[in-house]
Amino acid sequence: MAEDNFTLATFYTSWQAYQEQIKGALAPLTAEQLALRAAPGLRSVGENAIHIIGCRAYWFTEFLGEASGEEMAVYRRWNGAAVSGSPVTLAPTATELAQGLDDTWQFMAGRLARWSPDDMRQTFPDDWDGKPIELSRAWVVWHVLEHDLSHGGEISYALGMHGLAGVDI
Amino acid sequence: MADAQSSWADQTLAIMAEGWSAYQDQLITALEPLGEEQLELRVTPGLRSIREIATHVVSVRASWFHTALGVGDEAFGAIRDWQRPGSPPRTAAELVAGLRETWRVMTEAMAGWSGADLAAKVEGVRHGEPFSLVRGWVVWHVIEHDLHHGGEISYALGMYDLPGVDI
Repeated sequence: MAEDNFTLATFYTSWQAYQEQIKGALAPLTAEQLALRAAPGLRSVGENAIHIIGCRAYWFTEFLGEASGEEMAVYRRWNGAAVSGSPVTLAPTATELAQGLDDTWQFMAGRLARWSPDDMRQTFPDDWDGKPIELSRAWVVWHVLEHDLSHGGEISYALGMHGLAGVDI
Repeated sequence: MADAQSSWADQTLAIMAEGWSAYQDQLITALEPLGEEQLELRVTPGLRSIREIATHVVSVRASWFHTALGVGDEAFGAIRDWQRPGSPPRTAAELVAGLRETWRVMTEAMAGWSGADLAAKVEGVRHGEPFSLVRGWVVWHVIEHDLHHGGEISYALGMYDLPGVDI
């Protein structure tokens, strides 16, 4: 779909470029730096990256039901850990986080390339504050995009707070 | 938005704008109740305060859409100067009004742009430098700029136990 839709192709390409900036910011970080956070109740740099990767896996495989292997199941579990409200015990390295971003991007990109406009309009049941709602595939794509960028901003701000290079946009 | 969306020339942009609008609503909800001291909060002395980030978001919208894309009148274009050194600090009410006004002008323009318009190159001078960019990329960049800095605002608010954007 993206190939014959200029707007979509531009957004996907630029979204990937943003991801590459996040990867660039994460790549040189040590375990101690990945554990940096602004305050005890907020996610660390590494936890935010886990959350981004896990969120992608959740929405595309569990919510939209896209068939996936063990690789995505691992990242889905990352999402469970990131949103559980309990302390996150996972501690992937910067290399593993970069791999997670690449793996989930490849998974998403494969679907985004083949989904037709009708596919994008197809809805899936969910609930919001106990009320049943229908979410379109297009909304899910938007939501994963906004989630990436908003939490990317959090990563960047946390890095800046500790004198480390973040994303410069 | 669902009704408005059908009248947009580019349906992909309409979908993105719907989500973008919802994100802006959350940002407004987070900023609206803040007092002067809260707007001055920042995570560390070398980084922007909440007020400065929000001002930057509003200002950059006007800068890209007016200076680069030729959208809006001079009053809209003047909003780009909000972040200039020496400009008065904006209250929460002014920041919210700035978000709403820039959104109104941007969406009026975006709704009329076709796929061909978004693929067209725009050229000019911004910050004294010549540029040649695709209109659709500029729109993307303002989206990513809003969301990225919205995340910063949310993180700074969270550091001080204030509600941010929940996505």
